[in-house]
Amino acid sequence: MYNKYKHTLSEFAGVFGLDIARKTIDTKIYVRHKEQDKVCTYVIPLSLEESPYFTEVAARVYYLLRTLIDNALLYIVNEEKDFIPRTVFIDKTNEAKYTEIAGKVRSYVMPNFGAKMVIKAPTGEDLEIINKELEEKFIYRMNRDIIELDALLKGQLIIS
Amino acid sequence: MLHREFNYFNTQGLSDVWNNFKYPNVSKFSELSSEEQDILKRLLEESSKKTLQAFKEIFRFQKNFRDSV
Repeated sequence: MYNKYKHTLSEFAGVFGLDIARKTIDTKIYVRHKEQDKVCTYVIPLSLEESPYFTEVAARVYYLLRTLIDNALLYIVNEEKDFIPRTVFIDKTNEAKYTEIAGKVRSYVMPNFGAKMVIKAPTGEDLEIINKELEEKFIYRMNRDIIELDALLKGQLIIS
Repeated sequence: MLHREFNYFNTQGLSDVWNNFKYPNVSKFSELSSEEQDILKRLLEESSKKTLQAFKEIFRFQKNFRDSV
């Protein structure tokens, strides 16, 4: 399953805020991408026009990836036996019925999972370069990895 | 350029979503009546359809985004 999805659900690595002093929208999404052994990071501005679209796409990626991971971990802790997923994508009018039915089944466990990721966010001079590029090109490709790979290897999965 | 794994991403079907998201065989839940099992199955089918649609919309974004660089 990992091999099926590993390059198609990219990491959306960070969102930054508004610059109130300069009265500019300074919010950006950093997308880490590896292609032909080179890692780069796309910087996407969130203007008022673009924001709803990017927010929608980012939300879909986030929830699909989170649900995939959650269900895979639930599959493991339930020893590959059937369980009812805690996250489904259904109409709001059906959510109460789903919760009611799921609550009747006691033959599986549903622990919570947690993990930690460390990110090297750009600062100072890098941010100035990024902002200047964005004014002209509306996208910036950062030729470095913003994820701390060593921290990932040392990270822990927390089950509660 | 899109990675070759996007071929699978874009052509996967409902059965792939069902298998990859580990959706259950509802008949295994003996605590539920047959009517409840049918409702649960219908809701999971609805979820898998919406999931597949979300994959297609992500693919559209990725194609536009990555092919533009």
